[in-house]
Amino acid sequence: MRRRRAGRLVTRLEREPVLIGALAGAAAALVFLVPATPMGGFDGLLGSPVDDALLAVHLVIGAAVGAAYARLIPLHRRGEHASRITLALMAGLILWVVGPLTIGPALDGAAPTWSVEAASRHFPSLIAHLMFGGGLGVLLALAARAGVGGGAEARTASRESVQPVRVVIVGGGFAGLGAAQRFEELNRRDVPLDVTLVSRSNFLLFTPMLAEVASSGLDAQAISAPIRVACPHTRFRHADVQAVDADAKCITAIPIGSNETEEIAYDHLIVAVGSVPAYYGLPGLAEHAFTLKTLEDAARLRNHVITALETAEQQTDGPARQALLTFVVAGGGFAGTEAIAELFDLVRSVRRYYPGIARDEPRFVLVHSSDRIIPELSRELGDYARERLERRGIEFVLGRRVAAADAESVTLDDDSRLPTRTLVWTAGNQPSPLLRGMPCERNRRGQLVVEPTLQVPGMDGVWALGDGAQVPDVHRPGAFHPPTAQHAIRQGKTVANNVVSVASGRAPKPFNYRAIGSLVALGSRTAAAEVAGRKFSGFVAWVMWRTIYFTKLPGMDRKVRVALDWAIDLLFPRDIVLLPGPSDTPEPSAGGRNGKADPRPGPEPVAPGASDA
Amino acid sequence: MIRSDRLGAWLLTGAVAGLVGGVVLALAMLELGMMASMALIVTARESLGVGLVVHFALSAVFGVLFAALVRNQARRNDALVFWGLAFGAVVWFLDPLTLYPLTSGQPVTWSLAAAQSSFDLLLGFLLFGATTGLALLILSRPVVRRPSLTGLSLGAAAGLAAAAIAAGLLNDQGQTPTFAALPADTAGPAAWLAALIIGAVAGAGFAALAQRPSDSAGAGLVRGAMYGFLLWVVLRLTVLPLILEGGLPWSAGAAADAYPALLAYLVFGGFLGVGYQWLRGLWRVLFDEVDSSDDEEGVGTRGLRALGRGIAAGVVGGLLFTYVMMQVGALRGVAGLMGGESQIAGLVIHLVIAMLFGAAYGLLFRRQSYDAGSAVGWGVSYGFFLWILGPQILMPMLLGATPAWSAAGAASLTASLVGHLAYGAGLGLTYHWFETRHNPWWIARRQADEARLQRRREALQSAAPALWALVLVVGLTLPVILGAPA
Repeated sequence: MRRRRAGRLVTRLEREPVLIGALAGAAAALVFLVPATPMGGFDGLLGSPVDDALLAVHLVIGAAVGAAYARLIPLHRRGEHASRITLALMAGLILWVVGPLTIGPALDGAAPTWSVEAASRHFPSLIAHLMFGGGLGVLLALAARAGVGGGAEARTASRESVQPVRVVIVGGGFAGLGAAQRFEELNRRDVPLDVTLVSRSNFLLFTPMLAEVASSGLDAQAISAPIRVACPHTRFRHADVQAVDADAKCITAIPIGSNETEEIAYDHLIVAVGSVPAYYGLPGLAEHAFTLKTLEDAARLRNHVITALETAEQQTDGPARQALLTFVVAGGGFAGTEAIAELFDLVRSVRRYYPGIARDEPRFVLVHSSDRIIPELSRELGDYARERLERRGIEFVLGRRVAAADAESVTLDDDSRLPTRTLVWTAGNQPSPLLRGMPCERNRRGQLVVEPTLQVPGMDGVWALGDGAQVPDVHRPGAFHPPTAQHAIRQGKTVANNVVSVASGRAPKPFNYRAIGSLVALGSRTAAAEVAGRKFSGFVAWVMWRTIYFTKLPGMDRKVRVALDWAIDLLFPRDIVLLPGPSDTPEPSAGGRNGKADPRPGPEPVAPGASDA
Repeated sequence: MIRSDRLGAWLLTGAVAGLVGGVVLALAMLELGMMASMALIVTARESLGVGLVVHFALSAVFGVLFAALVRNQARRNDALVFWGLAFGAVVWFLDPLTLYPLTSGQPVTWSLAAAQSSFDLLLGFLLFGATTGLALLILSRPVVRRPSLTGLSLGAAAGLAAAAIAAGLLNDQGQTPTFAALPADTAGPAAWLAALIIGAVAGAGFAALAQRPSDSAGAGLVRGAMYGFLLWVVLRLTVLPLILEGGLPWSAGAAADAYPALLAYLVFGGFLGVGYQWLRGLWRVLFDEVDSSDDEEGVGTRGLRALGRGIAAGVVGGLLFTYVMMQVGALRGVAGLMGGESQIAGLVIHLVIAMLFGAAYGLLFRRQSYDAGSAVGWGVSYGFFLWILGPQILMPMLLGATPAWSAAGAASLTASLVGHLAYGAGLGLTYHWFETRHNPWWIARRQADEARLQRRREALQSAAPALWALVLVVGLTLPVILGAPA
């Protein structure tokens, strides 16, 4: 019985470096610190009585320092005695400065002077502290040699023996990457994690600046950050996720460039897929509308606009020329408004190179279903944005929807026809088709219904966030968080925290975030913004827009690239080089991120403007 | 790095190395007439013969102890010498200040007076430690790497430049001759020439010790500064006086007179360490085919990140420093740098300086710390160097005066020293926290990470802890021992 108890104690000591550190610290203090205190008198060592309270204080201090030392400074190998002892010596010296020179005078009610007189007075104590440190170091070295208190090694060994929690993140957008980065921060401190991120693009697209790429203001590379760089300790799979098997707890994916499927098992699955454009079965849209969700979209639109200008300059036929020079954007949310403003800036900036095109010839039309644009902002700012854009000559068709499109024109729901060769569709989004195969509740838009903790009800170990999830707003019962980047990033952090909580047996916390504000760029160095309830517009808001999004850009190199591009944009006209690569016509089967037309009927239309700009 | 030789053989080598160190110490003790009193440990009366026997027996014992302690430390060239130096300092605290009184029946006082009166023995033990380390290094021959001509040349070049800086600083105070222990009335050019020759030779010697360091320029700074301290002990206080004057100026008073030379050697060593590291890096970039930095992010990314973290950590360190300055009412003095007088101006200027030096720390000590101990170690070492660079060099210069180095002056700056050490500790810990928080690079996933992790673990086996402890011992005790009235 006694032996078993002793065995338990030894095991405990082996595991707890803090305990052994406290013991060693108390012992070293007993031998060296106590005799040297000015109150007890240095001759305490030689026989004078030592005050009991003082003894206790020093024992406690010694134990605390020893424990902190053993906890903070894990030595990875047994045997580096010199290092171990020397570091403890150092701790003793620091303790001398902190104790007798700093806290000591403060306890006596005087300000510490750290003068040479004080140091001289406490010189015996300096040596005592050195001895204390040395003693602590020697004791810990002996302990390590005896195999107890090998903190770091014991912890590492126990960590290695525990099976890590397998986390699979699907989607490399703001939500998925936010989660992965948070996991990297948590990895060291909490349960061992094995995090895999599966995404079909190997970079994070900074969507708020996508419209600027479409308008030649920024290079495509500047707004895309490689996932492997952003989270270097996360396992990355460049693959297309096909299905989720909730019973077997695994997902099926096809690596990009391969035909063979791969199964990836998980303990926790984080569904962070984005949205894809939804055309709601409107005729001709899938074939003829441009979208603005990916880099290819932006490059394609840019090439198309420049080609339209090239063709129009040589075209004398009136209606055909007019169609070429009419640019229509459907959807007056953030994305649509920024798209029309950027298109306007692009055409205006390069028109001088096309002398055959008159200044007032290009036409810009924004079609929006409600009577005010950017419904996320207040009416005042929405009106401000509209006025600004109208003053530049951009037309607004409000209260109308696009009903159909063909190669030459767009038909609205009042059967009126707009001749155009350029229709940009930002009026509808739907969650990725992957979600439709999941056996759980979805809302009418097709988003997964989740708990405030981001857990998917009825699916063990499955979490959803970002554009593909309907996340309840705990501050406004009945309301949900909008699918924007600032929410997605925070949801990513929350989901990572929650997964770690659950894995270590604690309760997950609800997603609790109040949006700081929203900003929309209106081109020509103007913007509208609503930050913390205050409204800003014009140049000031534009500076805010640029500053805020600039700081949010992932990675220093991207920041430098964007800053350079902006500087060039400030000094020179925009580039009209037709880049090789994506064709200048809409991808015939543009169905969004998977690049495949989705034959299944889509969910109900989403209110225009709900896109994540 | 770690050799698996048998313990017995290794300890025997340690004993022999201890005897070699003992010879050097014995010569010094004979010169100082202290050897006969060693006999008091075993007999009641002084005797030279018994003293010698006791001395060499103790030397062998300390040699064995030293060998046992450093057995699993990396036996790189510089490591053993610095470990020896640190060991010597510890032995001084242990032996003449503690064990000798205990064994010879006198009271242990640990008093300042006792420390001052046995200062000569501190120098002796430092010499003993360094020699023992060097002897152990040479006796365990297989690991000694011969220095390359390139390395020696680079070291000499860095030493030349560093000596020019140190001699220039001494020149401003009319003290150039003290660098080479020459009489104060030596002609300027001769003193300069002597300083530069010492610089070049010592630089080459540093290169022979440091070889191809794999750590950062910041580690070079600390290593160099402590090499400077070693030079002050070995060269300035021992070899040169023996040659030039035929005696050992080892008393606390004489050492206090050589304090300007101590600062000059610390400055010299610091610049030598950084310069050598930079020249090595430049050489590698220009002439080596293999670029070992292929597992690193670009210079821009890591540099800017280090700068940003350094600045933020500098604020934390600066606030700690501010506490010290407010307690001793020194903020107004800082305001004087810009011609201001108010506390607020002083605080602002102080924090700006803290951020600037924090940024420099970020660049110099990037990825050097791997736990709290190493973070504090590098941080306080950096803080100590700033204490030399700031209040003793830059501050007087910026205020329009010439620096006037003296032991008493340094003693009056102990509060500033504590402030600088607090700054360094706060800076180092915060910077380390930033590095752990984001992208904890020691969690190995890729092979490159594993290799880097290995390198950092080697730092623990290196002499880095010895350097940190030496910096603290030198910084905290020398101004008190040399500067306080006897």
